[in-house]
Parts: sequence; structure tokens; C-alpha cells
Amino acid sequence: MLNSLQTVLAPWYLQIKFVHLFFVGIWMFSTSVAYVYYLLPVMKAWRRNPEDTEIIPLRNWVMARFDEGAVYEHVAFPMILITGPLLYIAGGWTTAAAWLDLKILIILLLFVPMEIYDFYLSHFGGNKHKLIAAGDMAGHEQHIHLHWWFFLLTTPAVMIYGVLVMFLAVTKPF
Amino acid sequence: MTDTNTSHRSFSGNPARYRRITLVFPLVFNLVLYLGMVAIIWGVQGEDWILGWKPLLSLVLMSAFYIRVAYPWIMGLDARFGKGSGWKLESQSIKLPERR
Repeated sequence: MLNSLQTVLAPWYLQIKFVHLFFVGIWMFSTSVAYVYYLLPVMKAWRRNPEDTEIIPLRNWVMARFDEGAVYEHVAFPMILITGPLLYIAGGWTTAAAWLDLKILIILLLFVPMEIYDFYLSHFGGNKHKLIAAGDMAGHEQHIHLHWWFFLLTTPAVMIYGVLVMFLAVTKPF
Repeated sequence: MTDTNTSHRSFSGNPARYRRITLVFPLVFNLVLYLGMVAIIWGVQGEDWILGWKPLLSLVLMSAFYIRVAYPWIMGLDARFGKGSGWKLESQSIKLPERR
């Protein structure tokens, strides 16, 4: 089964790799400007002035807009999870490639659970626009806080392990 | 969306919690990564280089680097110090656009 799939996919290895890298780029960078230059300044202002009645509406707005902006990232991630295994099969990779083992472990143990929770916060039960539309202001506030916790904890992890994953993929050091 | 009728509650993050998390997370996560690599390289591939000193040193260095970097990073993000500390807030009346 895998051999026949590899026979079919192998001639398309570079094309699949292109699609994979295209979506990796979107996943990693599509929200970066909005995050650094729009969301962070407002969230920092809120953290310094948590009771400010002018900052809170701006905080709510920027979080709701960010939820929607994350759509690009969240379309890209499943595409990465589809094209990654296709590359693995097409390239005939095995567990003998230790750099790839480490890369896959980081993706499965860190990025997949992180993105599942991010999907929830941005588009499902934690979507800020839906919570306000439902009149659930306590739930909205709770999910703003959860989302801020998520950003605080994942930002260093994404940058450090994300760069490590890219380094492993490009240099294949061991 | 611009409704100010928000249910106020204080954010539960604080420096002590950030410090604990940035100490525990890299140690646990890197150890799990290492054990996963041992299972694959030693258990499946039958190679023993993964049990040598270099991978263990990498584990320690990676954890130390994360601990050194992540705590001030989170503190900066949470406006405890660093960039943005000099910003001032000027009151403005604006309309925020919403998609229908």
C-alpha cells in the first residue's frame, strides 16, 4: 500500500514540497504583523490599565478581529498536516532520519495540541464575536483572559521551537 | 463589539506563575522529546548514539536557553517591563469598524 502510494507520489515530491512550504509560510507569518503591531500594544495598554473604559472596547475589538484574521493560519495548518505525511511517503523517509523524527515529535507534541486549542479559542466556543452576540459577557471576558494566557505561553514556545523545526528541516543536521 | 458592558475580573497571570511555568515547561517538554527520540532511535532503529553525552547536553542547553529567554519574554508581553513602558494613553473618541 505504502509502496504503491510512494510510486505515485514520488515524481511529485518537489511540487508537494512547494505546497508544504507555501502553507508553512502562511502558518508561521500570516498573523505576525497584526499580533506585534495591533494586538500587543492594545493588550499591553489593557494590562497596565485593566479598568480603563476606553481601552476595554478596543481590546474587545482587536481580539475579535484577530480571531477572524487567524483564519489564514488555521487553513494553512491542516494543509501542512496533509502535505507533511505525503512528503514523508513520497520521499521514502523512515525513522532512520533522526532530524525528521525530532521535527515530527515537536509538531505532534507541541504544535498540534496548541493549534487545536487555538482553533477553539478563535473559531468555536472561544470566538469572541459569537460570545458577545450571544450576550455572554462573562464568558467573553473569560475567553479574552484565556486567549491572553494562550498568547503569553505560546509566543516563546512558537518562536523557539518553530525556528528549531525550520532549522532541522533545512539543515537536516543528524 | 465596542460594548463596554464587560464583566470585569482581574487577569490571573502574575510573575510568580510565569516563572514557574517557564521553569517547568522546558524541562518536562524537552525530557519528553528526548524520551521520544530514545524510543525511536534506540528502540526502533537500534542505534545507541542517542544515549551518549551529546544529546543529553543538547537537552540541558536547550532547557537552559528556554528558561533564560522565556520568562523575560512573557514579562515583556504582559507589560511588566520592556517595550511600551514609555507609551502614554490619550483619550480619543473613535468608531470601530465591524464586519456585518
